[in-house]
Formats: sequence, C-alpha cells, structure tokens
Amino acid sequence: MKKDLLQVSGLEVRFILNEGIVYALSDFSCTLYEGMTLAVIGESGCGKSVAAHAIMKILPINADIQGEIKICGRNINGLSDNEMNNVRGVDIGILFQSPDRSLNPLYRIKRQILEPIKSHNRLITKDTVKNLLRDVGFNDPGEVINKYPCQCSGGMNQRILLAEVVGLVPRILIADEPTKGLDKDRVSDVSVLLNKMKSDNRGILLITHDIILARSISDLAMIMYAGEVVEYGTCSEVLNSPSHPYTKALLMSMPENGFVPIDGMSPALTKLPVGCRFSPRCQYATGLCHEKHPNLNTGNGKGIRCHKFC
Amino acid sequence: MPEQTALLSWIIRKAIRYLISGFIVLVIVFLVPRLMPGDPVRNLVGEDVWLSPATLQALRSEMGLDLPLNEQFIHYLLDLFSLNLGYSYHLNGPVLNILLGRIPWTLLLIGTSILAGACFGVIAGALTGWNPERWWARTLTGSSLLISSIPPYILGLAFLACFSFYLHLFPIKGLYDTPDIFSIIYHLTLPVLVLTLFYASRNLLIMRGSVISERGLLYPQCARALGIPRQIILKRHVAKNALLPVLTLIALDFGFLFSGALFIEIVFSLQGMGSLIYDAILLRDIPVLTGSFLVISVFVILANLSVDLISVLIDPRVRMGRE
Amino acid sequence: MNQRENITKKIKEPVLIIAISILLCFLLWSLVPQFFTSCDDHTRYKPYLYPSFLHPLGTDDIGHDILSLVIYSARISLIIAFTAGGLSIIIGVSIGIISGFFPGIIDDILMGLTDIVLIIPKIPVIILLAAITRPDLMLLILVLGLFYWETTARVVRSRVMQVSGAGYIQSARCLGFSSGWIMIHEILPVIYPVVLPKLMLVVAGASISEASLSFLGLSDPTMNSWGKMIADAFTHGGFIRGMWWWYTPPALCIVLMILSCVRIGMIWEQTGTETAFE
Repeated sequence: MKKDLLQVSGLEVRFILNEGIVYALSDFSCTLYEGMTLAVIGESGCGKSVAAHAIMKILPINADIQGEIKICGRNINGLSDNEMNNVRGVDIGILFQSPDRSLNPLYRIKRQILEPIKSHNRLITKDTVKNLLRDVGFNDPGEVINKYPCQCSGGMNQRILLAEVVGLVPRILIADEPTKGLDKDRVSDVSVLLNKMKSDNRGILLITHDIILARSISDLAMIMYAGEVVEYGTCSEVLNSPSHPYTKALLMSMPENGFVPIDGMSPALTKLPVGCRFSPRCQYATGLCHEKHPNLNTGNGKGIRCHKFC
Repeated sequence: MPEQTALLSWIIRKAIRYLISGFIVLVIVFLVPRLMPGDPVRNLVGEDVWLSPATLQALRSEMGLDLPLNEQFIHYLLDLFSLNLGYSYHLNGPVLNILLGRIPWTLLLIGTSILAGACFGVIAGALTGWNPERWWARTLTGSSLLISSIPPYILGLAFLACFSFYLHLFPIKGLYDTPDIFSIIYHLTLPVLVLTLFYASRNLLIMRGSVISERGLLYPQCARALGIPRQIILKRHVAKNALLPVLTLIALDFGFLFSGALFIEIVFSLQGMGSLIYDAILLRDIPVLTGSFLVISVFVILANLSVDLISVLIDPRVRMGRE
Repeated sequence: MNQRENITKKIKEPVLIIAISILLCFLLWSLVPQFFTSCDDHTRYKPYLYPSFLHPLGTDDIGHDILSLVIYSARISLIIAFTAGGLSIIIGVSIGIISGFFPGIIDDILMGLTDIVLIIPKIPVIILLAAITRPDLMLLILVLGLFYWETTARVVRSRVMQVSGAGYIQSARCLGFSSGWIMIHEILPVIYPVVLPKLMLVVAGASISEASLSFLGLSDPTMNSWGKMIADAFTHGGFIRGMWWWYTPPALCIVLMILSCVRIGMIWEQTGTETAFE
C-alpha cells in the first residue's frame, strides 16, 4: 500500500482586495501517493498556481484560506511559519515560473544552489553542486558554477532552479510550468529528471499547459476552470476520451486537433456566474446549467463537475 | 559581452562623466565673476573693500583681466593646479589656508553624522521594511517622514531653542570652550544629533521603500518556498539587494547633505565651512565663496565616485553593463 | 477605471483631507490675505510687542504685525515653490519623453547631461550666483527651476521606455502617426501617475531651498516670505529675546506645506507584489 504524500480536501482561497473579493480557488481536493504524478491542466488564471502556493503556504497575507491540507500525513493548517520552514523544501518543494527572476541576481550559482541545502543542515560534499547540475543536463558544470544569473540564458536559469529545488530531494515536487520557454532537447531533459524522481517514489504535481508532456509522464490528470476542478481521472481517460465539455473544447484547441478556439472568455473571478461557471460558453448548456452550480461527482477514481453527467 | 570589455567601457563612461562635471564646475567658477554685471575686478575681489583706483588697476593687470578670455582661462587653470585659490581681502589671507583651517571641523561634523545616520537609518529601514505593519514600524516611519520634511536648519533652530536656550543643557555656540576632546564633544553633541536625525530619517525611508519593493520580487518568495527562514532571507538576500539603490541615492544626495551641514554650522555658530560661507556672503567675499564652491564640488564628486566603485564591486549586473 | 476608483477611495483618508485643506488654506492666504487679517504687512506699530488681542502674534523688530506677515508671506512662498516646481517638471518631462522615445544617441546625450547636472551641488551654486548678482525673485525661481529636473527626467524616461515597447504605440507608429502626435496623445496620459508625485516632491524641495536661501539672506529683500521671516528673527534679535511666537509660526507653515505636498504626492504611490503566477 503506497503512502499518502499529499492530501488536500475542500481547499478554498479568496483574496480580499479593495475592489472586491477574488474567488481564486473553490473546492479543490486531490491526493498524491508515492511515485504518482498528477498533472493539473488549465488556462492562465484558472487557479492552478494558487492551489500550489496555498499548499506551500506562501500566499500573501490578504489571502483567506479554508480547507484541510496534509503533507506526509501531517496536518499543516495550524503550523507556524517557522515550523512550516521545516516542511518547505524537504517534504514538499516547488519550482516557480520565471526562472530569471527566481534567482538572486547578486549571488553566484554555486552559492545559490548550496544555500537551501545548508539551511536545512544537509550533508555537502565537494561535488554536490556539480552532480546536481549534471543531473539537470549541464555537460560542463564547472563552467557554470561561478557565473551569475544575469550571465545565463533563460533556459539555463530554469535548469539551475530545478537543480536547486531537487537538491533537497523533496518527497513531493510541485512543478509549475517546468518546460515553459525551453526547446525540445531541454524539455526531454526535464522529462527524464521528472521520471527519475518518479522512480524514486516521489510524488509530482505537474502544473502545465503542455498536454504532450502531461501525457508522457503523468498517471492522473485534473482539469481546472475558473478556480475549480471540472474533471479528473487517469491520464488516458481524461486526455484521450474526455467527458467534460470544457476538456473536450480544450483538447480541440490544440494545434494537432485543429486549433479550434473556444468562444467567449473565462469569467472574472470577482464576478462568477450563477450556476455552472462554464455554462456561458458551453454548447451543451441547458437552463439547469445556467441556474444551478454543479457539484463534483466522484466515483471509480474519476470525477466530473457537470449536470450532463449526474 | 565579455566581462573585461563591459568593465572597461563602464570605467570610461564614468570617467568621462566625472571629468566633464568637474570641468563644468571649473568653468562656472571661472565665468561667473567675469561675466556677471559689474566690474570683474570688484566681482573677484569682493565688495565692501575699499581700494584706491590705482590698486584696482594694478590688480586688474595682475589678475590678467585685460587679457582675452581664453588666456585668462589658462592662467586660471594653472593657478588652480598650483593650488592658488585666490586671496581674501576681508580675512587677509590666502583662500587656501583659510579653507584648510575650517575644513577639518566640517568634516568632523559631517563624517560623524553620516556614519551614525547611515547605520541607524539603514538598519532601522531594513527592519521597518520587512515588518511594515507592526506598530513600531509605523511609528518609526511616521516620525521619519516628519523629521525629513523639516528643513535641517529649522530642526537645528528648534533644538537650539529647546535644549540650549530653555533647558540650558548644551552650550549655545562655538566648537569648544577649551580645546580638549571633552569640550569638543560637548559642543558638537547637539549639532551632530540634529544632523544624524535628519540623515537617519531620510535613509530609513529610502531603505524601507527599497526593502518593500525587493520583498515583492520573486526570488525572496522562491527562497521562502525552499524553506529558508525569514530572518536569513532578510539578512542575506533582501537587505543586501535593497542596499544598492540606497547607496546610489545617498551619493546623489551628497550635495544636499553637505549643504544641510553648512546650515547647521551657521545655526550653532560652529567655526567650519558653513559659517565661513555665511560670513563671506554677508561681506560679498567672492574669492572665499568660489574657493569653497570648488572644495564642495570636489567632495561631492568624490562621494559619487566612491558609490560607483562600490556598486561595480558588489553588483554583477553593473559589471555586465546592464544597469 | 480601476485606478481611478482606487484613487477616489484613497482621497477619503483623514490625513490626506487635512493635507489638502492646509494647501487650500495657504492658497487662500496668498490670493485674498485681506480677508484673514485686518492689519497689512507694512504698517508699523510698536516693535517687539508681545502677543495681545490686537496683535495675536505680536510685532517684529520694525513693528510689523507678525500674524499679517505670516499670512501675506504665503503668497511669495507659494509662488516660488510652485513656479520653480512647475518649471522643473516641464523641463524634466520634456527631456524624459524625448529621451525615452528616441533611444540611441539622443538618449545618451540627454542622459549624460542629466548625470552631470545631478552631480553639481545645487545650493552652493545658487549661493554663488546670488552673492554675485543682486538677489531677484525671477532669478531665484529660474535657478531653482533649472535644478530639480533630473530625477523627474529619469523617472519619466524609464516609464516612457516601458510603455513605448507596448503594442499600441507600435501600431500607432505603423499607422503613420508622427512621433510628436504619439508623444502628446498616447504617452503623456500614461505618465502622469509618475509625474504628479514628483511634482509635489519637487515643490516641497523648492520650498526647502527657498527657505534655506532666505535664511542666508540671499532672497529678495523686498519680498516677504516665510524663510525671510525666520532669517529676520534670527538676525534681528528675536531669538535672543526668546520671541518664539515670531519664528515658530513661519517655521510651522513651511513644515506643514512640505508635509502636505509630500502626503498629496503619495496618492499615486503604487505598491504591487510580483506574483509567481499571472
């Protein structure tokens, strides 16, 4: 029986701003086991990164968070920031987007990679940094370790960031768009690294737009729209034979499927429609869809939020 | 761009900048007395000095005022290089010597205040920027805003009135009663206090702003996501990065800081450059004024230069030519 | 218009209302001083009088009613501060826009010029000029205005550079609009959030400089300003006699004006957190 690494139930995130309340995330739940990869797919602004940040407890102060989160069996809701620092990085790590800005511009690469390791009192050998860099695809790590982030390209910084996060060997890795801006060779490097983590029995939460990457390494897939989960199931079920209208439309919009765009725009998170959030754009929408908000129907390891599939 | 070439071009650019600024200062000092309305000799010698027409004429040829302008300029530059800053008829001495007698006191005043103000201001600024919602942070920010909005000499006057005049805690004027270290410290306490308060509050506000905007950047959040404790993020990452713009602003401000110190000297009747300039203004002692202006400009240029050196040493982005 | 809603909300804060009222009060003093005081600023009464019912702030060494002096001085102090401030903003904005819009040699030259002017210590130059020539109001304003444009120019330039890379500027260029038209109609509206706070700061700075120069006796002796009042108090025996009602009110006015300008400038302050996601 594989251990639970991550259990999230009923996670809700609201941002209290001057202009109003932003309902960034509603009713988000997921479970991650050892060696399992869950892909979270959706448009920009659908709430996938908010969920990731909420799990790591690094959202800003004006975020109102409800729900239960357990990391490696431990309920992190009541933990103080100091206690949480022992969890962050080692139990669960996150790879941010925008690698150029995620690294401190004033420090050399070597120091930046070593710092989290030292801060968690892990062992360091002479070759720790070089080995990590080799793992992420640098053929000549010696050349890179004394450079500054401003001297490296975006792709290089992306891999350096990956090395920094992976260096702590976290049990769970949240990868937020790890292949954004990378070319094909680098994408396959990242793929290989993620697979290696999988075989080490780590859990991976892969947030991505890249459906091909998702297909290649994930076991389960979850589709999000306007702050909530609309469909989830095994990767092949969801991505090859989708049920939810949004998932279908999303897949149709891929280049290889015809590049068919979805009419309309996703709703503003401050003014969500009554009823199903996708109903204004859905071709199957009925009167019920516009009036009543559908719950997530779960069963057989699948879930779908749609009145058509009640 | 390879590191060496970028660095070299940076050095050249900065050198050009400082040389041109210095040159403009020299030109201003040269041209102003000669082109302003009135007799150039009068402008150069100062008003309110009675000189007979014969002396005036002799002076005119001695100063070379009947020569064409470009030749005068050459003489002027040569004079400067031999450290001849002119002669003050009011104070009866070469300007250079007069200045040398006053500068150390001003430097003492400014140096102490800048150091103290920098330390307090930067550290307090980092802490308030890191925890801006706490009550002590808000109080400090509010008071700094208040203090830095008060022109330094008004602050000095207020302190003088309050602590010296009414409470008789500190002496009213002068650098010392007896030339020993204790008396000097006693007399300088109040002026140093005023200046330090002023510098510290400006530094606090700037550092606080810098820390707040650094904090909002991505890499501190990334460090936090890696489990690095908040205190370490502040000390090793944010504070260091936030310090750079502060240093630059302090250097740019240096002229203003210097002027502020001059006013304090006037208010507290300290025998430094400030009161020298004040008296020279009253007496229209132009040679002393131009000499002082040159000296002040030199200091300002040096201050800017030092900050540029510091930022090139610390910030690799500057070295790469990407400011 | 989200930003406008934000600003209207911010305006309702109490400190800001106080700041705006103070400036309005000073403005009224400068426009119609006769409504606020029965005496004027040149009638002479008995000198060195203590505060009384007739002269709430007493009289100075020549016998002028101090309260009237304070009110009448508002005009000069405000004129100098706002004119010099306005002048330097105009220069700064022009240079910033041109510099940001035409990268290359023009930008380099203008920025080089800005750098150089930045280093030159302002107050000593003004002192030098004022000592050599006769102090004159116009000259003072001109010189002050010529000295504070650098930070404005820099800030405007970086904002223009941010904006001119944006899509709508490129499309305007492609559609054939001249650079001048683009600068006035597209760019100017975008930069006012950075220019207005700078304007207030520059006005505050000009206030300080004017007060400082008056303190040194370098301002126009025929014009009354708050700085001059303080200088007079200092040199004409107000200090020694402990006549705090002479030098405190003008000092208070100067400080209040600076604080109000700074506070009003803070309306357009924006703090944003860079987020790790969109």
